[in-house]
Amino acid sequence: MAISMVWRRGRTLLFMAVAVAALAVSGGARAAEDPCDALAGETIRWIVPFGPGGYDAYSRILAPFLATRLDAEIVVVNMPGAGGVVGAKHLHKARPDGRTLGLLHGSSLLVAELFGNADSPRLPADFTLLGRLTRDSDIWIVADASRFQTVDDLYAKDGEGPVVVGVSSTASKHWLSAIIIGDLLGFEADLVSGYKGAKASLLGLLRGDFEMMGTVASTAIPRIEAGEVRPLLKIGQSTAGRHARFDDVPRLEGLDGLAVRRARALGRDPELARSRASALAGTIAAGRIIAAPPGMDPGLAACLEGRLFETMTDTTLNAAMVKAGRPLDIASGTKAAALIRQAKRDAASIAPIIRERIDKAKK
Amino acid sequence: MDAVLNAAVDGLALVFAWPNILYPVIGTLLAMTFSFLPGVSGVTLMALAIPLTFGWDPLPIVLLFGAFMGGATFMGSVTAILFNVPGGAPNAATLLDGHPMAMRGEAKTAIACSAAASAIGSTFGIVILIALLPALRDLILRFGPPEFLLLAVWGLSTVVMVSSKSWLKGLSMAGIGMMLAFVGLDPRTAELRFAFGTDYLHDGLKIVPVLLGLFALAEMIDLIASGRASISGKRNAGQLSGSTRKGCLAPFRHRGLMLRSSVIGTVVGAIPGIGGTVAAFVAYGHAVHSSSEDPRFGDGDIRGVLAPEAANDAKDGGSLLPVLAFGVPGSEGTILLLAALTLHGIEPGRELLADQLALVFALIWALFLSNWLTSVLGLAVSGQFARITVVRTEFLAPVILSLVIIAAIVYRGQPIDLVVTALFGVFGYYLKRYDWPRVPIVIAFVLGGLFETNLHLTLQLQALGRIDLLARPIALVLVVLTVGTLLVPIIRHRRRNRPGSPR
Repeated sequence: MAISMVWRRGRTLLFMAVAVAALAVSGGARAAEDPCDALAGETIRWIVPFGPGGYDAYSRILAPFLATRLDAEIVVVNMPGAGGVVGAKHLHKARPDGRTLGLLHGSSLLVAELFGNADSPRLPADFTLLGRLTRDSDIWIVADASRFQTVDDLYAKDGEGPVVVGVSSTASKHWLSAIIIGDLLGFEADLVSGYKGAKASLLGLLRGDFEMMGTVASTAIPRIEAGEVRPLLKIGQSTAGRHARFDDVPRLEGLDGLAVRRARALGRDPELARSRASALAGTIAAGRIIAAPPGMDPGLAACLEGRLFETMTDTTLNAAMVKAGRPLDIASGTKAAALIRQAKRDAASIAPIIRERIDKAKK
Repeated sequence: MDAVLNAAVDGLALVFAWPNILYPVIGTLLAMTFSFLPGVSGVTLMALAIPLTFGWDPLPIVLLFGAFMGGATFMGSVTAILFNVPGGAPNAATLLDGHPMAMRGEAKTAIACSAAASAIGSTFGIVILIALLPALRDLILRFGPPEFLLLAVWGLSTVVMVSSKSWLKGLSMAGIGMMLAFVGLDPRTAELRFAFGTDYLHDGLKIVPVLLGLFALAEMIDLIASGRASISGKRNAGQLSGSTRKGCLAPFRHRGLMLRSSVIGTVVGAIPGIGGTVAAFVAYGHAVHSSSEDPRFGDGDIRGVLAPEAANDAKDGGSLLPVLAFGVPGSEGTILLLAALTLHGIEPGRELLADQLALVFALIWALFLSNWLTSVLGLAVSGQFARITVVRTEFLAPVILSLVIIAAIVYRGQPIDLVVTALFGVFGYYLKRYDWPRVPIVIAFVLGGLFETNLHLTLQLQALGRIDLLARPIALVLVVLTVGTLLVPIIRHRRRNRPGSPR
């Protein structure tokens, strides 16, 4: 009797041990199926295609939060050059094993493609897009003492000559914007190019070198609050660039945007105007894109996209970003890619204008 | 004015409160160490420090970075004096007379003069900065593309001053410098020029590999090839003839030049985007053309050390003016200072000056403290520095060459910078061997971009009727100064060569 009881209990124990072992093995196997686990304990290089500044700041604030979620070490590497193209090319050529990620200047890559720069990588085809950290809105400003009190004054000044606009260089984002805005709103613009950066352009505006310029909202806000400049119009709908001073500023794009209303007033095709304004807004607002090299394993890409989205919605991260003056306007990689593809489709409507002006500038 | 004075006192209290004082002291020591290494400068240190100081409060940031700015300039002149290697482009003016003094065994005098002139010049710049705080905005807005263009031209005209042996050689080298400056993107059209299809040259050549090659590497090759026992040609420190006292008293002996050079440095430093190179060379040029007594410029005249050093350090105070008023950098160092400030949520401009004036003064006092600390420490060890000029070549050259290689690779992490350094090193050696001046290449390379950008802007604005060149008094003054800089040496040369005139 005693022996059979021992045998029964021993058999039970044996069955329990086998069951526990089977559970442990199957649990481990399930854990190993998570693609991000392959990055645990690894070092990830995070490419920033600029020197110290906004992109670098965003990356260094984000890095420790993402590192925690991936259980990896993230090393931020600055690779400045060619307006962000050097870093973008390096990221494009890296191995798509999750150990090289980067933050791209979306609008500069789209603008480079619009201007036919064959050397620049293409969005989204040449990368695996994992998310969007933030995006810009552009604000077009004039000096406070300017003769343009509202945007209507831009095209209500017959006989007073073209509007003089300051830009950094031909084939820059703001050069593109100035041409398209002038075409959509029906005023002639003379462009002065060569200012090195937004701050130098801002000084030029305050000195009276030119009458109008475009800049990102974050650069414009301090000058607007100081009463030195006034916003005339805005492009893009970034939440990061939102400010009470912009609430009454007319927007260029949209079904009831400035471009459509002006087209109706001039007897032009409102749908074409809407498309062109949308192309411009989409190009400007392509944003700061988190990307990996192309050809990444779909499972790994999906996992990274998910972890990144969790990180970007972390309230502590958001608080740190706001404290550093770097608000977020996030999107998943899938959504960011879709918006970029839409912007590129719309861009077909502005390509003829760009080609004409480039040819004119070269003469 | 009361508000300014109160803020100045509050700022001073912030700096000297414990443990705040540690930041400017440590910052100064780090800046001195970094700036002594060839090709590595205070700017490199600032770039490295930005990510490491993430999450810090604003006060330590301004104290640390203010100290970095103040501590870097003087040490760059020490390498210029000892090794004929400028720590940065602004220090290139110092080597014109500083290194010949070192080769004569008077390195201690040159370093002491540099230390004293730096301290006094920086004090002048800071005093002017404080005095002009209420009028910052209007002052800076008076300088536009025509003024920037003429400042670049004035700086380029000093090529004549530094090429006293042969203007033709000097102008030829300046031409090469300008061509090197044009490599990369056209500032107007963004078209690529002379990049030969490479990403490396997309943004143009960088000053650090060029300086490392033209000076550091070329000097070491020359030192080895010449067979000289040491930099000074002497074998022990007892043979050195320098005097710390003589060097310290030089700014007082030439107080007029000292004051004028400080004014030049402050004014030029205040103009956004100009930087120390123009300040230093314009001050040097002024020293040359204002001297009347037995000038030995180019052969070890102490005034040739005093003037650029005073201007170079006075510009630190001046360069804060556009940064504080508009957030526009006035020099390479202030570019990174600005990056550090904005990264930590400190936005320069009217609000900063109105609401956080004490923080602004903390930055100014940190810069002041750092300048003086650097000069005092530099004076204290000037004798030890001078001993480097008797270190035997077979020991010194490998060390310097190793530092050059490390600096070239570490600069941007691009090994091709080492190739560029090597190419310019060979080029610089042959220039020195056949007595062609190298400094005009540096002047033109640094100022070429400024010249081209503002030439295009000025022509565009003139064509659009946005500016009237004849109605800009500052521009007219700059034209007169430039013409004077060009004509004075020619007139002097003719007077000296007139039959019957004393030689």
